[in-house]
Amino acid sequence: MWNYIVRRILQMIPIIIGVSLIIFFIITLIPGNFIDARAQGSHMTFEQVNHLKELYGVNEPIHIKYLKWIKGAVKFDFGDSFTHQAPVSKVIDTFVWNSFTIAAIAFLLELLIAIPIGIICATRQYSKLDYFFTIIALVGISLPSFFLGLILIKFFAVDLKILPLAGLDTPGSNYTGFQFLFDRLKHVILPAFVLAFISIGSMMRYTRTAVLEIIRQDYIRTARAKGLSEKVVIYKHALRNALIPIVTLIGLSLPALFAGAIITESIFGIPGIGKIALDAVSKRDYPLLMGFSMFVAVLTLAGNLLSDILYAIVDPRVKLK
Amino acid sequence: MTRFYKVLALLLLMFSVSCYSMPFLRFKDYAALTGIDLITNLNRRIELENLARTAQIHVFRSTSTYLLLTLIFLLIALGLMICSTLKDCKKSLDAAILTIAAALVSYGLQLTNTETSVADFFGKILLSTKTGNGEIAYKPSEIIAATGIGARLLVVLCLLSMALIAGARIIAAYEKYSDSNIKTPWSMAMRQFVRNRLAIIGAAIIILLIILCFFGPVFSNYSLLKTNILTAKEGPGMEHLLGTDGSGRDILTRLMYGGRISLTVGFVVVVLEILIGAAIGGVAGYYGGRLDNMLMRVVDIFLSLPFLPVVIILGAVMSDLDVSPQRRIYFVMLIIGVLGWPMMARLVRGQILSLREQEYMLAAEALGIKDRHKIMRHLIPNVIPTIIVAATLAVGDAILSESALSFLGLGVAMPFPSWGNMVQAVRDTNDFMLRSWIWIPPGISIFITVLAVNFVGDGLRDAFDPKMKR
Repeated sequence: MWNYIVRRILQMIPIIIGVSLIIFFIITLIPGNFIDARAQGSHMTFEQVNHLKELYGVNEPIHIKYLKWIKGAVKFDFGDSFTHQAPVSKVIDTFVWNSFTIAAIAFLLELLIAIPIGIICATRQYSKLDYFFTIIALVGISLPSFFLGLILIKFFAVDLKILPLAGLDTPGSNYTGFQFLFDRLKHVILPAFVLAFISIGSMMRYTRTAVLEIIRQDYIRTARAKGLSEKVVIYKHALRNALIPIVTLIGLSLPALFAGAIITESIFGIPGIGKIALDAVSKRDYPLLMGFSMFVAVLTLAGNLLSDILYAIVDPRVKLK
Repeated sequence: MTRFYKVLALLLLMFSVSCYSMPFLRFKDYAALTGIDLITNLNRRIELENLARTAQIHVFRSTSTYLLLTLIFLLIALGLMICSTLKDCKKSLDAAILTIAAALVSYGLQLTNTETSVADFFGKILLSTKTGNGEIAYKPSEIIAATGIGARLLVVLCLLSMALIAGARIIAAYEKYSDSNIKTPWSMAMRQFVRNRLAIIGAAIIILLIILCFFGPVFSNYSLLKTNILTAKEGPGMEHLLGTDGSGRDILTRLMYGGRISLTVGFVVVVLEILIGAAIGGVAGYYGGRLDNMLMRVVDIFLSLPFLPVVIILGAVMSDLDVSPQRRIYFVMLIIGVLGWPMMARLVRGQILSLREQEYMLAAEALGIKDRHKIMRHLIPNVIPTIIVAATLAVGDAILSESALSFLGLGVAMPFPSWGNMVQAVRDTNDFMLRSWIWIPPGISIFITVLAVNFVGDGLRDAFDPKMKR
């Protein structure tokens, strides 16, 4: 097991290098730079601008820039963010937890809703209920997140005025304790619902397929033939095995939990890592963009590894070699 | 029964050819132009007959090459239909469907040829002025123009005749099918698909949307880009069915143009993904070994790239490189396609790996069948269902990605509409809160389109999956 994990991590290194090369190349495609953008309209002298450029290493050739970046990245130093005037890793650490709160609530909602419904759909395949939830699942997959978010804001915040428009806390409020939690919850509920609803569909379908696959197997027929009640057959015999593929989904959700939701966060004005990244694009804050992209890439790879490990833990038939 | 359909379709085709003698373009104060005028004066300037007797002389420069092509296709179809009614030949019926489809496509291409006004569908209106030294100069001019009855009727009649012929063909095919007991995997899948009500609804919606988006603008009296501040932000009403946007442009018209963009992006992206992904995945799966290893590492790298951040950064690169609004759309397709192929490659590779282990492949090997035949006859037909299902679902994803990118202002740029950038109107808080007709219709359009695509994809998956058989 440990051997396997170490080998997988070693295999990740060339992939991470490849990803970083591609992202670095794309970012250097952007003409102009942060310093020039800042200098426009401000009262900086030519000398000051040049000094700043030297300080940030703007004029160096690409390969030197890249080598410098990777030298720092090995030591978890991704440079300083231009706009936040702080190390990139610190910026990510500050904002990622706002994203995590929402994503975690959304993920819980997703699990609690999608798995039971998926099981019900599988046990009553082709029934009216199955059709209904199939349609709901496809609706969730097909809704653009920005549009769903906007409609919900329009309905709940503008028309009904029962939920706040945007942000994480009521501005200017100094709530503590329970009041703070309640206020936070009111802000978080809509974005969490959006995130959950757009991803509920695929998990529901996935569960349904997994359960259907198991129900057709011989040992389920045997269990039924023994005269076990349908409840015991489904929830004791079938479900345990059906949950195996679902458990791996949890590993694959790692990036969704920590990488932030760029569109949903910017619609709801939540200071999460996704919104920060989008702002970084418009402000041409390359170190932050680079750091953020690598953060997401590493999360994706780690998620894949985690899901494989989970698979081996849950299913004793699987041996990691 | 089928004969009745055929004769009706024949008559409709004749009518649609005669549409060319009806007005295609109407102008305010000037005489209308017929389809024949447009194609007989290709790339020549026609002087418009001045009805109001103003001093200005307007000329029209026709660029209707596709319109001529449409006419040729229609005439061929007419010939084929006459042949099929006389001799009851099935092949000419198929050929007729294809030629009418070709006529419709070339007409659709003609209608996409638009920059500012409705007249641009077929050419350009120019104002002729005499310069100081006696020469005549032409300047672009904007007089009020609208499409005529001929241009509109042509679409309706063509579509109707195609529907009729297709109906006749399906009836014939169904009779043949119910007579014989031969069931191919494709006919079985087809049967399964047709029984899926949701999938049929989805397919119908998609066809309807394609017709609406590509041929709808010819029925609209409003131009795509012309702004009119006097009619800005009008609510839905008789004049503008869905109201007008912040610059006084008709929202329904812009929706149709935006739909063209979204649908085209969806299809082109997926074709790109299939071309790159299936080729690389197929090679990796079939040859295996070190080549497979290398290609799969590249796939791994692309799969680990964070999709949305990279797309957004590339969108920003486009803005900084000053890519013109018309060209941006091609880059958007390229970006989404290039980032999407690894999924397809992995899928095809997996499928080929499992197919290679099948007994019939062993038999093919033992019989000494050539590599080329093994790939063409045994592998590819078995991979195609997987590709079709994945590709259909990928169309929906591509449309969603494009709309998100355009919504963030990094995809298709104003003033050219796409469903995504039309929702951008919400940046104006008042429009967001009070004038929902500006931003809700494009959002609903995206939703309906992607939902229809997903219905079809889901139906196809069930149809091709033998385990899903009822």
